[in-house]
Amino acid sequence: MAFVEGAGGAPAVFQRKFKYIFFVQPAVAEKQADPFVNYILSLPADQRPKSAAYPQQDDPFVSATEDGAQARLEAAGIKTAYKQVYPPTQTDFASIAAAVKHSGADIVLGGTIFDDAVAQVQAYSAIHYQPKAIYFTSGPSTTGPFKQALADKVSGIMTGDGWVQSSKEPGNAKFVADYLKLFPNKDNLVPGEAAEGYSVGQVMAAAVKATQSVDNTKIANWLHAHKVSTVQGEIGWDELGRPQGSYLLEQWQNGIVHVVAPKGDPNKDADPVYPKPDW
Amino acid sequence: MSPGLLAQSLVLGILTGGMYALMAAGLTLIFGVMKVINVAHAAIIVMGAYLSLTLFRHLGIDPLLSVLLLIPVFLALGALIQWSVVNRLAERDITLTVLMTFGFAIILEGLQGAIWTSSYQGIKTGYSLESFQLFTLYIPVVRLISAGISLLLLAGLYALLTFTKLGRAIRATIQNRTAAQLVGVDVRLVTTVSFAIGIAIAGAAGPLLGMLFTFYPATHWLWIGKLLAIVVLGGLGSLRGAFVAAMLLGIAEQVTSVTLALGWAPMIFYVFLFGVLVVRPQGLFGAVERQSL
Repeated sequence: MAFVEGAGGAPAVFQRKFKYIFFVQPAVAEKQADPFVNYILSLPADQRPKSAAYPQQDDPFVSATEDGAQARLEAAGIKTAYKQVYPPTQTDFASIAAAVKHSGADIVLGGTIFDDAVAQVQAYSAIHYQPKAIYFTSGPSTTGPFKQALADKVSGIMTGDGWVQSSKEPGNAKFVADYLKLFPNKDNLVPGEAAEGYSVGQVMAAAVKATQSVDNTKIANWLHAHKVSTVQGEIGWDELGRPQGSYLLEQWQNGIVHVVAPKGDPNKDADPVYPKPDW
Repeated sequence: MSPGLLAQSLVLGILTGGMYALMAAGLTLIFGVMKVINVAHAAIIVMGAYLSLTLFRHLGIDPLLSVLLLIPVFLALGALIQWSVVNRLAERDITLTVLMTFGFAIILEGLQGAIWTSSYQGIKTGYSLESFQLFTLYIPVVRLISAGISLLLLAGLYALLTFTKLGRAIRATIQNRTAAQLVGVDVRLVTTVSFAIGIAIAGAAGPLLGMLFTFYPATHWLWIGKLLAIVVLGGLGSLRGAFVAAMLLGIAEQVTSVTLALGWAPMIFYVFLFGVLVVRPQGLFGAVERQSL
């Protein structure tokens, strides 16, 4: 069966070498933080952080992203000051925040889902820990609830994402308008997860239309050979269904999410703020 | 590890333990008087958190004030549940009450999901993220207030049990139900009042839980295990034991998190619990129950 999916990019998904899986995001999990790492490594030597902390949830997607970023940062001489994996049931982040602060880490790469990203920010803020940059694997792009939970504490927080609401990709404006018509909200925000789900539909629709068939083998063969235009950009896959693109680096600035990297991306609408504003 | 980090984790552990003690107090009281294991206890705490959240969002009532407002509401609810359901089942077969409270927990969880959705929630006031510095230590304001309120409520409960006629009747019923009846204690009334007090304490803990931790309808399953462990370690029915065990859990969690690994934090407490039960099956402060053959 051709399995076109929008939320399964961890290495474990592709290790069994299935040929009918297609992950509909710009890149796989281990590359999610690449734009953040690229940005950190592009900083002048006197501004570049010397150490990083990696508090992360026990989750295959999160660990792939964190491990990928940690390997590159360590190779570039940025020491690991703190690394701990916490269970998904962790609700109290006070001791984690204390340990991260005492580690003296300049930046934090939080391996988070959503609620733990919120809880980490609250815990860091409560003990006056001010990292120069903070990146979460998930959470900040769930814009409405994230802003509601943290208010102005969102400022400066970064994340990697495949889609931004203001994206200039073909069809995105109509998707955003239709979503807000169906699910109006006071902040006029569309969650990234909605774009991921919509992209899956776009991919399936394109494959069925092109092959004039719902035959799984025909659909899979066509997807292996073609790129598809989605609201997340044009996506193409390797033989194991891994997307071959790159994520965007986003940062909360002045209460909204901006695309701050990669340079040259048509969706980039602001420069990164570093160090981030104090909480 | 630096002494500063150890001191910080100890302070956090003590403050967190105070909160755990309040959450477990009602559970151990109910067990002590009725021998009922209230599996719905944590779900009731979470319900208190949701009600406080609603009062805060829609009426602007501070969650600390809602602690006071929720006590009479949950007192009445507890009395109603005990009188209408628990008492009748307990008289027939005490083990049925475990199933009943398990079912009640699931009903509460479903109700919370239907009303407030399954999204993660938290009660965030203007002072939620405030802290102050004491030497090198940072003291989170909400955690300090929560621990303070917990201690006040526990002190009130202790005074009730120690210095009032009702308290003496409750303690007599905990020690020996039949003997209490023989000396004229209205055991049915005592059990109803005790159950109601236990539920009221759970309800009062709700707003504090909501201020400190994220919560969602199924969160209670995470908490009930911890609370039962506290009650068992402290000794079933012992308020003093629950307090000591809660402190031990709070400190063990926080200190282990920074000295060993985060994954060890919950495990260390259960290893300690196992060790204590091997030596003292009645728990730290539990009484040995004598039964006739």
